[in-house]
Amino acid sequence: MTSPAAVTRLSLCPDVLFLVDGRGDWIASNPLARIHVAVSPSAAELLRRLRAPGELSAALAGLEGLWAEDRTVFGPRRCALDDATGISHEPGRRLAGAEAVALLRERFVLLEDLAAYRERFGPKRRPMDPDRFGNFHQQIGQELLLRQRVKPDDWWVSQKFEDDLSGVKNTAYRKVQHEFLEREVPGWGLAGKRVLDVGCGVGYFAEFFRRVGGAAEVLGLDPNADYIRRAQATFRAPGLRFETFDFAKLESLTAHRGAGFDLIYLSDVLLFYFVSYKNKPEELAGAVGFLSALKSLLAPGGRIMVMDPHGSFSLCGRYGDPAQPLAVLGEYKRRVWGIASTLEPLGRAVRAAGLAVTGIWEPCYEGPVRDAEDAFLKEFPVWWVFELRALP
Amino acid sequence: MTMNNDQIPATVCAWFESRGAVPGATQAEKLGVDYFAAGLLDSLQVVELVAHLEQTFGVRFEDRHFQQRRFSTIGGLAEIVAELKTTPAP
Repeated sequence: MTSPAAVTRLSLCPDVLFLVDGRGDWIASNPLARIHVAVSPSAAELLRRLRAPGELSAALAGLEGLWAEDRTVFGPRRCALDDATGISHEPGRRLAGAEAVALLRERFVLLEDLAAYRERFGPKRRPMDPDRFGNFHQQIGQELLLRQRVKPDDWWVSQKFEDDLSGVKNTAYRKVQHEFLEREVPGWGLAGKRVLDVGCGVGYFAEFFRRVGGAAEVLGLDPNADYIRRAQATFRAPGLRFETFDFAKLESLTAHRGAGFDLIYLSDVLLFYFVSYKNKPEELAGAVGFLSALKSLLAPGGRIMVMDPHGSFSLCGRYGDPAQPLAVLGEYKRRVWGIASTLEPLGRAVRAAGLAVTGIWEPCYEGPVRDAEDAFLKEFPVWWVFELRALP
Repeated sequence: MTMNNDQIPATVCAWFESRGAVPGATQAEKLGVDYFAAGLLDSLQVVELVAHLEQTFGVRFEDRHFQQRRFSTIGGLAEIVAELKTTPAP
């Protein structure tokens, strides 16, 4: 009688890279699926033998001491912009023999059907869709709701700000985003001006524009009523106001606010208009409408500053060591995992809205390098910033 | 709460039925329903479902369960719960 293993033809997943981690273990690392498995040297030999599809039983011949250990985690734990590569450096449950082979198959290191594996790359079509890996938003939603058991809205604030909203936590948010604004905002000429913070969240940066930029009036808008209540309770100052607001009604602001805004600020907002963008004109319409509405709110000579996750580096795989960090990209034009716009659709939406890009920044960490994260953030920008002005 | 494993499918099904009609003429058909495909739950309601099952049966779902196809059917959920109840905690 032929055993099931004898008739199974498997091959090594072509997306897998091999690394040696700090413990000296071989890691079969898949930067596209963000799945990583530590393997014994004999398992590494098994994978080498299966570079071309082959019978599992034949490939297993003579191999002893086979083990495999899942080393996959959902990367962003402290904050959304943490390393999303997903390699755990903690030892996991070590499985031996047939269980190790089963793990390698379950975690897509060994494949029976390459086409079926490729089909798994795409947004989940429904909650918990077992057939697709899903994009970043879907994966972080599942991580927060089912694994960490926390409310995403609460987590979003706590991962970014100190509990009393007195500052930004020492993550990429402080090292890159906050330090960029501390360097740049004093030069934005906001003294005595009007600022609109669209998607102000709990109000920290609206208050920042008043305190650091010297703005005379700052209006913070957010669709999340809980965030606005917290902003109103925390940040009280003359000229500083917060309102719960549906962004679909932005144009109505013009009617009852009078004069326009000298600065409109968007932080991690515009990306949501591009998440499902597939280079189709109809899908660009939402971004164009949103930007057009913002343009109608500008005072003469006013500008829009857009801080968005970087189209290349915000969620890319981080490899290498602090002396030479490596960014591993698995996609650019066809967004499967990433959630930020690339340059071309962003540029087309800006142009169609009657705006022009008049400045671009790619902020990086500028402090001393203490660890791999510092090194990565110093070399690769995880946000980009665009200054937009109305076309004449 | 003491519960025989035979009662688990009906108890899981009852939770879904308390929130609306579950398609299927028989218990067996209802247990085979993919509750996401049938639009019975959205992603936030899954959290309520998981909390309810964990509290009712004294079990704790693990990451691997969420990745299993059977997690999406009422009968599959009941199977997972039954397995968790009979597996000693690590």
